[in-house]
Amino acid sequence: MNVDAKTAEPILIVTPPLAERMTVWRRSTFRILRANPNLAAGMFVLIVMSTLAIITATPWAQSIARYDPVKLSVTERINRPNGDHWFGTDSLGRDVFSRTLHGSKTSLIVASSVAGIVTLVGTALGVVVGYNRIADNIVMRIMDGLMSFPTLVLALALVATLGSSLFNVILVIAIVDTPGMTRVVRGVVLSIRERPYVDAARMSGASLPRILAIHIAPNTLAPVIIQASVFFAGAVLTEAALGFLGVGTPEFIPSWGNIIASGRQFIQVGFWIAFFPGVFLAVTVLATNLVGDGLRDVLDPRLRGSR
Amino acid sequence: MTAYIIKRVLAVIPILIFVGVVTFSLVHIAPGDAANIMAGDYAGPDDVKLIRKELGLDKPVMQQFVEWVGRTIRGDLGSSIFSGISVIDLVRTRIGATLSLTITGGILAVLLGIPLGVIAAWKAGSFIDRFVQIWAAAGISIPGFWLGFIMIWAFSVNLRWFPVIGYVPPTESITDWIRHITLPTILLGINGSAIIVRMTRAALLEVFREDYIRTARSKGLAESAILFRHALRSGAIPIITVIGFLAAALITGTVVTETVFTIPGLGRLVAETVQTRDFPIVQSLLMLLATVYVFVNLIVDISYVVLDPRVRL
Repeated sequence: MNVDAKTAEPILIVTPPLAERMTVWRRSTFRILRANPNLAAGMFVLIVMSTLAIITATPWAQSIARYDPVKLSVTERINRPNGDHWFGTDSLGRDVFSRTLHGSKTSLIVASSVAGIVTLVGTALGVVVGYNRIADNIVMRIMDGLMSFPTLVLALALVATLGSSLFNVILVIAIVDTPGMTRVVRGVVLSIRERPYVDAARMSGASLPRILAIHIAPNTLAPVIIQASVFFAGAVLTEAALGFLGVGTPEFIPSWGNIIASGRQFIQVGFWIAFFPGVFLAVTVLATNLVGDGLRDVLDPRLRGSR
Repeated sequence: MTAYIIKRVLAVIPILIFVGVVTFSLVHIAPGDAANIMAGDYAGPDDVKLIRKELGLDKPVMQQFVEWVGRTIRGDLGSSIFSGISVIDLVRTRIGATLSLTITGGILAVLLGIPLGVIAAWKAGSFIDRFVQIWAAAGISIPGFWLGFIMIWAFSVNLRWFPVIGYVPPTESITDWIRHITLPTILLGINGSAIIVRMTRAALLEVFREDYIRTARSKGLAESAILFRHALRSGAIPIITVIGFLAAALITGTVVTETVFTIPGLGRLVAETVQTRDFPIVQSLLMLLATVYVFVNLIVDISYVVLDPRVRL
């Protein structure tokens, strides 16, 4: 560099106080949300849904879901939606509204666990295979193999084999989703490791773990967040599909999928049994997809302004 | 190009071996004993022993694997534990319904998806684009089994336009076939088109950012000429890749759609047999559907290289 050291401006890095940083962050969040009404709407729905789901897991569940979701009532079979039972009752006299709310808990537990596991495992594998040829050859062949199955069919076969339980449903969906995340992270890592600043870091003597942690991993954040939202939505759908096909979470744990399955045969007399949980299901998945698309617009500068 | 095609074809072999190993392992990763699970709660030890013998589970694992591979390659896919019907016969009686459903659904998905995706990308940011995007988001988000339920409730139960369940092959009666296949086709088509719309739109937006499009525009070409003569020509190639995704969507879609509409096809066979844990059939169907999927992707990859002169990997 031929800049005279005396005339060059001294570089001052001043970290603003936390309160100020928070204000900036809050202001920019607000601006982002206002510019992306879809993102804002999706987030709002997800926050409402998670709040409801969390409340049903606490002792205050009765304040919103007034009935026990698994309590049978012979006298109240297949009642139309009314003041007492907002979404009606099912063929065993159970309150569909309470079951739907408790079902949201199942869906969100499965979806957030799957998204969490897939993000952790996928990112770890992706970073490692992006940097190690031998690991790349072994791991990616396995991932290609897993991806050569139609996901729902593989998930069905695995759950049927391992047995229906909440844990197995989470495990199986995570297994079928991990290759996708690994592939995305690997792609990002492969392109970043060739950047000049990574070379610079290597030449200045940074260790491999340091390069991975400081230079590579943060750059995978945006695609990973976007991808995690995709898998979250996918897991909600797959969990419900497994429940609908009769191999998902067991009958005593209400889930949107198994409620819809139980209402299917009463289509002529009890349309509401399958209708309402489906609305919750569709709205949740739609909200997640809107958040995912919104995040893509915000986080991927290349696509910004393309719509 | 030839080298790439040969390499790509050869890559199918390890994938199919992996698919085979996973499929074979299914019976062995079952907690406890697959024979116990299949025998059910009321079976005595003799019944379990019989099933174990039937499945060959009393032999060493390696021997079982070798025998299973040998049988599979010869086309002997085993038979149902419960009914004794061979997998080949089951597939033969059920593939017709699945084929007619995936073909009509796939065609509808392409006919809806590609034009909508092209229009959305061309008029990006407009009202039409917004509408198409909402359509696509809804098509991806609304679960097929629930939408199918709503369709049956509205059009079959209430309006009585279509039969509620069942399937009639076109060889028996064309009109009955159409009546039975319309709703399932629409359901599959909506789902598939949503995926195609998103990919087509994204692919074309990418093309619209290319320099040669800017050149075409700056030399004063009409928008329609830019779209048809420049953008679509090169945009058509990435769009082909959606067919791979469409195949995945259709395979998943048939399982759900056939179950909702009670159509006796392969998809419903999958759903039925995983519930009863009829392992020989589950294994064969998993192997079969994965193989179909692998070959569809092979064809897509090869056509990609053949059609795009820029890709010479």
